[in-house]
Amino acid sequence: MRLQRSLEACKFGVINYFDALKLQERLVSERKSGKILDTILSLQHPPTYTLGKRRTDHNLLVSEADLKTMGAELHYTERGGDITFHGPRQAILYPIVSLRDIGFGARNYVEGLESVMIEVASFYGVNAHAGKTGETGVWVGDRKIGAIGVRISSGITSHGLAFNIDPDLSYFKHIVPCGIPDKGVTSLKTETQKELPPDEVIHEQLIHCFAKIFRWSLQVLLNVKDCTQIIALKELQLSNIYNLTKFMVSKLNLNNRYYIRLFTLPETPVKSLPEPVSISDETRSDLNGSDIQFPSAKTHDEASVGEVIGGGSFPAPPPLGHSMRESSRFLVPPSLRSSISNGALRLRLVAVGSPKPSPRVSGL
Amino acid sequence: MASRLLWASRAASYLRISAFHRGFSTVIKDLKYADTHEWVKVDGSSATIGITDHAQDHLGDVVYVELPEVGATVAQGKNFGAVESVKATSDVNSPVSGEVVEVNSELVGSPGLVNGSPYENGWIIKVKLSDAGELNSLMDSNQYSKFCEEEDAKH
Repeated sequence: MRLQRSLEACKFGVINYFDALKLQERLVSERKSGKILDTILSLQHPPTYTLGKRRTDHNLLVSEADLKTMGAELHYTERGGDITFHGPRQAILYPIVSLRDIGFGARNYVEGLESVMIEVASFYGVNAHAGKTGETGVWVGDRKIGAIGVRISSGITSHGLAFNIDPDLSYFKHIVPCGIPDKGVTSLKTETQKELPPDEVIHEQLIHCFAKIFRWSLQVLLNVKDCTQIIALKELQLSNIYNLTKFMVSKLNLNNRYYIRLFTLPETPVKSLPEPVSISDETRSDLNGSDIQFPSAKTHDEASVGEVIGGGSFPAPPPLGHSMRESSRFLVPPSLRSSISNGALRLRLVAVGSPKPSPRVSGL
Repeated sequence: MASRLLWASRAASYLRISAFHRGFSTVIKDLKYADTHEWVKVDGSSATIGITDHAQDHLGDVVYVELPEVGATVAQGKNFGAVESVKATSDVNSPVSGEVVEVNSELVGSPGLVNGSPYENGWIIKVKLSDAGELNSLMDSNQYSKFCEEEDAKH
């Protein structure tokens, strides 16, 4: 009999490729040391071409200068696979999971990723199938609707799959997609007769199929809109909240809003806390010039383990003369206090921001 | 499926090895194994390293092998290269520490050797051992077979 394994999903908006890469590297290292659970990121990218470990740039049919003119970026990565394109309206999933824990090898994992996309395509009446040997990916006829490129390092995965909902397919003209000439690309929009829901729905379907096919129990779904940059993804002890918040504030030098979400981790070893934890007035005044608020996502009485229990948004250090607004206090909800015994209640902080105005992706 | 089993048992008798058929993953006696599915064959102070039949089966068809430079240092448990199969790059870790004295350049043109002959022609690197004591922390063929069995039972 197998124990329940938890999968945490983080849903983002449109994220720059390099930022997502850095976040994945950090998450892989934290997953490897057991600091976090299996995680899956769901997002989209601005127009970006990427190459795999084999650096098959002969499959890029235009110069890098031309790419800049088009408003696209080029990135070299350590993932498997050939050249591909990512862009808005293409669903990206990056699972950061331990294959060793489930005894899977690359082949089983990739076959599972193919199944995820095939299943979601079928929800829209599209009959997709896996490629034949040597042509990993998901096809409708001889047109590719979904691509895969994975990196497995110390048994932990990164990168993942890209599923064409309705991206601008003309970008694919500038490459030999996945190094396979004479085969076209397609999208869900092109292949289906049905009306498509907002992208957000399709992302969620992909995540749920992923959890189902690999038999994870889907846990916290963190939904962050309007985010283009991940600032920090950290575990914190309750007593460290002040230090971490101060770190966050001092690192900020951008001009837009930031969002912090604090949520409890399931299955944490716990220790009894005699008092509810709050941010004191002295602490607040030390957070000099930034007004940090922690309104609860739910009422204090209702939160349970695994739920978002605090969060807020704050601007980067404002101009001189700005007066600090009163911050709400961050309290451990009563429902959690009763379940705390002999351990530390651990929290995960995900801070994301939008350093520059980002195009709003509809439905995401 | 049946023809692969037939091939495996023919290969087993030709190579005069004990074949533990878990599916059809073979394990060779007298080699040492790491829990990341690499094998090492020791010959005095030098060692040959590759990935096991179990590993190549779980990887799928290998299309590319990233090799280290001759003269590079490898450390036990740390990765020294990678293989690519089914659009996935997977790290390969060294079961022992030492200095790379030779790499299998055949793999550049014929990466599939890793699948077809994981213990012979698909060898990856040869190293000069820096610490023979490390071999004691590796598994022997019986332990490794059991380990593979336990891993496959996870799903």
